[in-house]
Amino acid sequence: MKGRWLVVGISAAALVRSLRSCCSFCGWAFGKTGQAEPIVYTLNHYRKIFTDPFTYKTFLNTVGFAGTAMLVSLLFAVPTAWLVERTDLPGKNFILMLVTLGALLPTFFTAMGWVFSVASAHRY
Amino acid sequence: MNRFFVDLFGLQQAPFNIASIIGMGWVEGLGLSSIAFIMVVATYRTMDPSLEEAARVHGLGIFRTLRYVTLPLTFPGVIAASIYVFTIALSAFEVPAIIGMSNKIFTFATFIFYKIQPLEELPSYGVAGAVSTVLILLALLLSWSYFGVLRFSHRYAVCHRQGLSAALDRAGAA
Repeated sequence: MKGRWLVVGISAAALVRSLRSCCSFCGWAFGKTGQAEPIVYTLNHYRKIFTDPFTYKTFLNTVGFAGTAMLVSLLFAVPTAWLVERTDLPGKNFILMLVTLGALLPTFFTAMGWVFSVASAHRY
Repeated sequence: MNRFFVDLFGLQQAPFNIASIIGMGWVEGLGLSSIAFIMVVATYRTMDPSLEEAARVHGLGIFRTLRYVTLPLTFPGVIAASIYVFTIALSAFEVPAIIGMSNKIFTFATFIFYKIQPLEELPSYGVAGAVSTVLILLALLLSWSYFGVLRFSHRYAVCHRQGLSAALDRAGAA
């Protein structure tokens, strides 16, 4: 019973935190305020982003980036999972350990590693 | 690495360019593959291996068993993992910030950051907030589809005996 309340409490705290962030963003998005002026609600920020071609380019970049990341992760994850679960591949525990370590490694380090090992086309 | 390949093959241009959308996706995807692996491996673990064994007994090779039995049965798990990874990548910040921003390639996360902490002009919290709400909407849509996939996963459920233990294929036998 205590465990259930603990789970409910943690979930509620996470929900409150998320909702608080969402409310802050909505306040920024719909509110317009100057120094010592009352808050005025407006849709101007949305008008600005939806009439700017840069937003659409950024959207395409985001979708392309996320789609590529998804395909690359599945390309490695699905065959490795099959090999680990359905074959007598030696060193399965080692693979599981490496994968867990990979999940713990901050993406920042991975990105810096790639920047140093494969610099851009113009700076090789 | 680029210098090595240029020297080795006498190329005019460096073969790898991670300062692009594909390159950034590659780096992020490698980072997220461990999460995808943990999700997919759980699907394989809970799947009844006797169906694959039956397919093998009836003469299907490894690849045809994969194509007609294994992949269709793991489909909800793989789709759920894809949606989850896509949602995380959509809001990822580190890789687009480290690789993309210095090359003026923006995603939503770095665009929001740039609007809050611009180098030259004043911060534009309103635009950052508006873009954030669009991102939240996209994340909600993806979460909804993720739970939708989980809700319909019972269609792929198989009645099986107690205690699953797969007869393992020999690695490299294919």
